[in-house]
Amino acid sequence: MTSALQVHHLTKKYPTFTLQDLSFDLPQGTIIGLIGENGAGKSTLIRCLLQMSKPDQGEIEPPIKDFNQLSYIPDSCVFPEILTIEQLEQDFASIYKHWESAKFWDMVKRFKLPHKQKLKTFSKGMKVKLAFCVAFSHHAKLLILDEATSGLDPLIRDEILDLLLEFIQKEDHTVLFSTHITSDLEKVADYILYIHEGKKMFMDTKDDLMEKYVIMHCTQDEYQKLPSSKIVRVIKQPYQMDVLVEKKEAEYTFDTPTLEDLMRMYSKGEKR
Amino acid sequence: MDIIITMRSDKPIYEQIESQLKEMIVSQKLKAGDPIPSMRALAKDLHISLITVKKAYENLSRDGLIETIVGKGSFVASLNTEQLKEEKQREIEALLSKACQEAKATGIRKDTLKELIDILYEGELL
Repeated sequence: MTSALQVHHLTKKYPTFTLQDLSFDLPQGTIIGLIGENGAGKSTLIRCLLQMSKPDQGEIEPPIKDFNQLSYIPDSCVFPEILTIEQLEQDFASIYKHWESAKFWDMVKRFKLPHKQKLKTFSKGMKVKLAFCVAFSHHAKLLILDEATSGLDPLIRDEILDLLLEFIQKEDHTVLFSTHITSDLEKVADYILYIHEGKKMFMDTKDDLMEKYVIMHCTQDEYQKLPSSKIVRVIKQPYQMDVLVEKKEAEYTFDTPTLEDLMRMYSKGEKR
Repeated sequence: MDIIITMRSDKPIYEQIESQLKEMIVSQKLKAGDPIPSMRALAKDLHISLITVKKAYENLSRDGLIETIVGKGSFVASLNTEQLKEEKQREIEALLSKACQEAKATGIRKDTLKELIDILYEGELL
């Protein structure tokens, strides 16, 4: 598969935190979910990808130099809020090399966004929808979302998932979606990249992750009898042992894990 | 075309898509040469990931049921009667296998089962 981006041994040091030796590929034409606890390094990684931070070591190939090809939607509104959509649109037409005015207004109409109201009167949902209108209108090939949907109601989030699926209708369009709302990723993500304490824990297709593992609930005695090679991670609960194992090793009582469960097992769990 | 998927099944989503498309092709509801939605379009309309759809399509392609032509899309492959028969036979084997298992589990003898098949085949119980 073609890569939209390849990251090689990326390291970035801060006084209290280090992003360590990250290597991964972003497969072109897919939606990659980026998950990890607060402070795990997701935003640091994104800043390095956007060339807003310079890594101490490692490379990003190709380096994102042409912002025409990139659309970045962070948690807060990036547009000046004293402007109206009408005023903004004129700026975009002169900033972007390939600005598609008709497409932009089409989408603005689709989302029923007001043309002549200042952005500061918009709800969060409206501001995010505006960001998408812009993202679709300048021939962007890579869309990076950093917690762009936090605080939005489930209906709007669902609309946004639809927009992401619409964005990747073209094979050379790729989405990197950093979010805490793992249930959204369970619906539409192709790949999941999990960063924990600055390190890459795994990057796998979402389907493989959801199908490969189960969480077994067993007694202390049953746990003691398990060979170490079967145990991916274990958490001791007050009345049971939660053990992450591959599906083919499942016995006793077990559940299919959600992405949230996998994160919990990997971050709080131990190997035996 | 109807494709129903549920998140609450034991069957993984790619399998649900695969078996429904297979059923439509083998029963000739979809005929040789009929177009089927592109992987990306189907993913969007079913509100699921591209890779899930891709897996279903790859399996159908591997089994000779569909063909994907780069730049044109995906189409139902031309199946000859032999292939269709083979597919159906595979399905019937699976159903009979289940019947045998249940019969064994409840102590119904093979002779009784064979008698049952004779009666059903001749249409007497229906």
